[in-house]
Amino acid sequence: MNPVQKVSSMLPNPLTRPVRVLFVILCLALLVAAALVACDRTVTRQKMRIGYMNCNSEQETVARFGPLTTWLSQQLEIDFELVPVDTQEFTERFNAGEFAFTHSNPLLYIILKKEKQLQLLATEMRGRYGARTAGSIISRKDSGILTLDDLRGKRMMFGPQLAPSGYLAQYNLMLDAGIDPERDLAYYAIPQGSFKHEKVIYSVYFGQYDVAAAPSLDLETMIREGKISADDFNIIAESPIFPYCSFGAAASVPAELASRFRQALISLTPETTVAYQGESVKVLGAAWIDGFDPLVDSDYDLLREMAKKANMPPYQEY
Amino acid sequence: MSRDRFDILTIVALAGVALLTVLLLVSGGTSGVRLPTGPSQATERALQERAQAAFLLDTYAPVDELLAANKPGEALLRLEQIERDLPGEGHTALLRGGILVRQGALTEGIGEYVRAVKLRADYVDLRSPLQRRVEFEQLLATALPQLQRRAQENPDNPQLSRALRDLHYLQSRLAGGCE
Repeated sequence: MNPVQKVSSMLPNPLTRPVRVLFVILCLALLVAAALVACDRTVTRQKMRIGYMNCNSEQETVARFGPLTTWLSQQLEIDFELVPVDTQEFTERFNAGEFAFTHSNPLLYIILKKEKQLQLLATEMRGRYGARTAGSIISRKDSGILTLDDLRGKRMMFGPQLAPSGYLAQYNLMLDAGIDPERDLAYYAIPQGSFKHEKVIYSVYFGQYDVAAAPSLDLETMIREGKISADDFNIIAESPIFPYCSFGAAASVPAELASRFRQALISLTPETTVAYQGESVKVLGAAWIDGFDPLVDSDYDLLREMAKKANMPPYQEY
Repeated sequence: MSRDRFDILTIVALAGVALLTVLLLVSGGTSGVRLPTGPSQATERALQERAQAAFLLDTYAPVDELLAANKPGEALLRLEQIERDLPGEGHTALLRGGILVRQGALTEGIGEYVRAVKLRADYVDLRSPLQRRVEFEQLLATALPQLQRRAQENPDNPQLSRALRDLHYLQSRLAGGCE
């Protein structure tokens, strides 16, 4: 007995054979339609991309932000794709429309805000200054280099040029003290490759350079991890605090979606978990983040002033 | 049986000792006085407080020196180092709170002050040599109106709400409230 005959046999006898066949066909059509609608819903779920600036390496970026991206996909019912982006290529790839959401350092935020009206969503909290950070100039404890004035004629290692707490903040500290890094230092360099901030700190630790521009957060983290000791360095100067890494949304992202994205971020707690690659992972812990603070654009004005003074993007004049 | 002089002396001495014992027991039982066997509780407490204050003064002297030399960044790193050796010490949180507030990281500084008070109640105890009530009162006077205004303007900001909650906690501890 075929399936049609089987279902037909269950129907009351008074129905004629054509009616029975029609009834079974209708039932099958209904099932097929329901399946199609379900498939259609899955297929039409929106896909969007989040560009994450690489802090140290692409591998690290994927490991840190994979769980957060998965969690955001679940919360906002959008299939987000994580895109690791090199700092130097960030604005170019954003301008090319490769991603609609950004996670970058605050200097890239103010550049994209000025040039592309990037919407500020939330600022990452990490370390003792929370949603803010600072840059320090360091020397070895036994170097005798103790003041900004002592920097003249010294060899200095800076962080990457687009790093606010590894370059811009220290450059400004020197300008404020009447020292022109371009003329008054014997020599300065910027490290190559990944983990640049750690390289900068170790370059002073091992005596390759006299002084270095170190992000205060990296010094704090390395002391906590036992990699270095507070006894190893003099902090010659530390900048005022300014906002840390930030999430943004392209101007084309609807305000309602941007708002939901922001709310999702600030609702995260250290206990929030997500199923990721077969494990239950703490979203913030995996990303090395303590939480998110909904700062406002004017909180970034101090950084804008620094960029203007140092003739850096987005205010660079040739 | 005849008794010689030595026997009589022994009996008299024994009787004297027995009488003295009875007298001592009777006087002890009625007055409730006990002979001291070591330092009193008050002495022990005073000793403990002084030792604690001396220990903190010595341990955190480098931090105080850096602050006196106007090097708050280096002082914070020194505190990080101390925290590795003495995790959970309230004095680290107290000093860090003060530095962060002065550096402009208000909400984080207030959070550290609250952590300090939770770890060591002496900071709000009027009788303790470690008390920092004036510092907390000054913080409340300046930060409370500022945070209240900002929290009203940004009702969805959880960081401001948390900082305000922390300030109210400090306020209640200063007023004598318990943990």
